[in-house]
Amino acid sequence: MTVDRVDAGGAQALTPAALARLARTRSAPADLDLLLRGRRSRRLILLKSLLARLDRSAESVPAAVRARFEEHWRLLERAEDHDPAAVHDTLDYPTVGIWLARTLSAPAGLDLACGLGHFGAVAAAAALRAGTPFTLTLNPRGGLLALPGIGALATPAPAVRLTARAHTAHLTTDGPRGRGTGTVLLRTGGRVHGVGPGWRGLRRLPGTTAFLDDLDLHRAPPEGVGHAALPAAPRADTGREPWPRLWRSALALLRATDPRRAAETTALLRCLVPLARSGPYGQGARGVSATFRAAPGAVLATLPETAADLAAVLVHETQHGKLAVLHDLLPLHHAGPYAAYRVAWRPDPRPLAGVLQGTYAHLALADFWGRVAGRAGLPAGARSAARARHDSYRRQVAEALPILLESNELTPAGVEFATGMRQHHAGLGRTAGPAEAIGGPSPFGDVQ
Amino acid sequence: MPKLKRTAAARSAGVAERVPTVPDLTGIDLRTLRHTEDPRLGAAVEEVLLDPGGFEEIWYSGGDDATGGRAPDRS
Repeated sequence: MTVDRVDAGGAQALTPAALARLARTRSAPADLDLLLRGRRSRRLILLKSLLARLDRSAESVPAAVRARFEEHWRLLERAEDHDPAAVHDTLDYPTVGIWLARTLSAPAGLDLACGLGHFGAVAAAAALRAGTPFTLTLNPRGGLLALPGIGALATPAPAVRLTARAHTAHLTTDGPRGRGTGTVLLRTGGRVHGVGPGWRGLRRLPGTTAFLDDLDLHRAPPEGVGHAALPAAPRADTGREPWPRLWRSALALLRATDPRRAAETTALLRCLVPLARSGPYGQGARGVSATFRAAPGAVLATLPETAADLAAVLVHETQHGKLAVLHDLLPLHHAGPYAAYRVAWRPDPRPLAGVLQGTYAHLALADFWGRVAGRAGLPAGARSAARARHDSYRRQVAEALPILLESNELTPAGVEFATGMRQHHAGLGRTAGPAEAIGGPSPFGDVQ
Repeated sequence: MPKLKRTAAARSAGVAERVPTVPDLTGIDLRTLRHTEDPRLGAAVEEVLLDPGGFEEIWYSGGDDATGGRAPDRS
């Protein structure tokens, strides 16, 4: 069966003008719509891929696991009938992407079965937001039942029963002291809030619809981030950290410096995921941030020292997420994974895809810091520091652009895109004023 | 109905014939997603199943390193 509503191009096709705008690192409203549609389409392809994998190898998980998956799928379909937007918004949530990517890669058997087990929480979260009545028993993992985009219940119980009606849901557990009455979830205006022992709701980032996600089981890869293998920071740590204050100030700085980039950031960001400051082997790291290919819209970061640092993290990581979607919509290169190119921000050779990602992110940072340096009323020291960062990033991009443009691994669209970046880079040189002396990498930790 | 063109076709076709590798699925519901055998969607699914680990790629920076790559134990 083919379906007319699967659109090969149409609204999702990129125009040369849109590609040129995106190359200049900032999106117009129409570009944001395109990126969001592309992001959702990729998510649905991952979901369809999981279905295809299960259909092709029925023996990959026990029949009971497959039957549960089918039960959860039916709930998801029913919820979509009731409120499509609520279901789509839940499926779009970044941690669902991380879960999907991990489950698609899981070996058949126990690992895959374990991955599929989380699908019930995804379906439940969607149905709760949609206001669909249902009854479902879910198994917490590691003492936590996490509902994507809503919150999590901490419980030692092996199973939690959700009994949901249109506006309320009761979570009950079978504990050693008998059947306990647990958390109550309330649905108002498409949002779900909870009260009760062990319940923790996600906190909104002030002024946006995005969350500070320090609860979801799939908010970071289990092996951690970076060489220090930093895990996601738990609520017990983040509750003491000034994330809301830093966020408010960072967003205010972005809005004052570059309203269009601020609008882009708030439109694309779904969650900010705090990372711990040290990994499982005791190795600490500061100024770490990350983006997961399957979860654009999530920015993973250690606690920045300043609001300006957080603003830069948002600019940097948003670029990675945008480029991941853009490359999905319109392939920019056909490069392999072979690390062949030297860049200013790393000591080891990089594949072309890494050069492209780094160049795009650092071009936006050069733009951002140039605008910060140009702000009226900035103290001389802050202006000098911002200009040094602008110059450092701009120099790195200057070294990387010829690598891209002289390679034979870009598609014609990739050449257009890199050419647009080069033009924007040249424009930054004309507007930023005299360069600061550069004795080394920028004071940020992401330049080597 | 136009067919999904692969990357190679898009490369030779140039700007005027850009076709995304990811088809627009925003207009279909989950039942349709499940049962459709649309060739463009099928091609996108095959691409995923060929290298699912590719979607675990992570770009990270800061600390003692500045790296873009797959998760450490997945490369």
